[in-house]
Amino acid sequence: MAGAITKFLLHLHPRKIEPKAIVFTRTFGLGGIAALLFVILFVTGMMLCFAYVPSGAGAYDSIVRLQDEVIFGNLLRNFHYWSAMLLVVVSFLHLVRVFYSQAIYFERRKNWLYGLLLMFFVVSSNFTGYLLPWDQLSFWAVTIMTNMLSYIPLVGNSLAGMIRGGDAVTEETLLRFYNFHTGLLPLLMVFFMAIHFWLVRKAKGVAIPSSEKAEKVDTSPNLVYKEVLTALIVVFVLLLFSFFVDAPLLDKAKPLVSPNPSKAPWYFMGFQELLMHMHPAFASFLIPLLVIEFFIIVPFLPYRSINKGVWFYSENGKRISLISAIATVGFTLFLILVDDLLLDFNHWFPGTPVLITEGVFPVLMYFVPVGGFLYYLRKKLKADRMELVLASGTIILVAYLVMTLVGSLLRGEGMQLIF
Amino acid sequence: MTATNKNDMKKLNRRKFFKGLFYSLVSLEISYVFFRLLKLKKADPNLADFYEAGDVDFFEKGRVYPFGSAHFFLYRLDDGGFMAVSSKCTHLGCIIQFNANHDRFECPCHASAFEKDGGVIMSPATRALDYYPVAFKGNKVMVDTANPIRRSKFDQSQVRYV
Repeated sequence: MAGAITKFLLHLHPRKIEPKAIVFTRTFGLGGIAALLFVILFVTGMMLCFAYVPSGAGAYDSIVRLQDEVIFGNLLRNFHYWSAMLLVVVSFLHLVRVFYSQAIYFERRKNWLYGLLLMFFVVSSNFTGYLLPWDQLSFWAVTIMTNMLSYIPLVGNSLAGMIRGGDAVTEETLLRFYNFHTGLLPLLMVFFMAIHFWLVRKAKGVAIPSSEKAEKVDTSPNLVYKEVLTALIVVFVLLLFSFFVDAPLLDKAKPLVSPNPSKAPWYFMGFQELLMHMHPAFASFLIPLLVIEFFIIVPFLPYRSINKGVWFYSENGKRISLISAIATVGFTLFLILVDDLLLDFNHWFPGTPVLITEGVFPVLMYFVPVGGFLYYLRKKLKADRMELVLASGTIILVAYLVMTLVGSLLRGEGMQLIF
Repeated sequence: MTATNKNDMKKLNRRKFFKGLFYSLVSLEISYVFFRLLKLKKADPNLADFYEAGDVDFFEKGRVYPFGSAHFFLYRLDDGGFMAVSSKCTHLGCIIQFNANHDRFECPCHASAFEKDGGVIMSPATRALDYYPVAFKGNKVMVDTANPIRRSKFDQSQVRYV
């Protein structure tokens, strides 16, 4: 019996494996941790289904009852919540690792696209689950997010209406989100995760530079013990955290009273911060669309050379990525402050359409200097196309991180900066 | 021999045409049903379903009256006309509040500000508050809370007179 289980689990791995592919610092086990978290979330989610009531009247009270009266109820909820948040972080880090270690080219290109799709599902699952407690935090965060969707031209309103089941967040929305969260999304994720793992096997495993290929070693025990150890550590840390830190639960949702400030879930705060500076058609639609397009086409661009499995592509690549990161932090913070404290295009150019004063101008103010920076990288640091792509990716990721931090930590009442 | 085979593969023959047509029609049908299932419903304006706000004479000129559970504020203009503005901020959907000191609507979420007639004073909101059609039945002010009307700014034609 034990043989059957181990044989099934092991058959996800090849029998023999490259020794350099299983070094911890090659992947940090991020993909595996993400898969583990998915399993944890599935099991804890299934258990939560016994207690949770998906209706406007019953949802909040069922959670309070779970926490107060059901044995280990509070721990179960915390465990589910923190695993969910960790999954978003780990999935993101996995994306970053794969991008920088040059593991998305050649035969791995399709898998990168499936990975992006999985990232979208992970965030959607977190988002749909976020509404379920039906407290002031979730109700208004979801109201804000679905309203951001309605700024997409042509389809925005219908899309937001379809997701919400109406003009505003109601019981209908809760039912819909519960269905997405417990039915459709887990099903899709299992399906696409299977494809994702299979494509990794098909590409002969983790990407390593050809120079590091050596004689293969046995998967069991060399890789298996590392995986088990990592899994145990993750579960241990998460459990410990869940013992001491409670998942948030504010007052029951009041559809007539908006809290001040009203913030989206932290992983969307970058967008909300961007919205403070730009017209929604740009911040909710054009910019995200361009970013997504960038990440989709990166593996398909023509490059002079690609160094599979080499971190940051080259020594120059390392330096360029670091410089880009630091420059982006400084420049983004600077622009945020300048826009908030100084700029007021609407008053300086009265009569100009809002799309220009709050759309085109801020976009130019950001992208022209970035273009200049990339030009400087090309001329002075002799960056080739791959290094420029790495720099652009760095700029995008770091800018979003900075905006997430500013939006989450530095904005208080009325979404004004706290100093 | 090979050349003719290749041409056959590329040519659209009868079988391929009907197969394609069939699959397209079935996909269209399924997507239509799916989207109809999830779509919004728009209620028809029917005076019987309007919300009764109160007697015309009760409302003083130049004042704003909140109707929290019905999601609107009733503003009686200085010239006696009525406007029912939505209490939903046009930025990201938070519920606005009336600030009597500043004589305007303010949103607690991101500090957008609106005039009493719904026009935008301060961003980040970019368009005026939605308004609801107002009608009069006898001496009563009736508001059609099922059909909010979007607009970019305030216009005199949006005001209703007894």
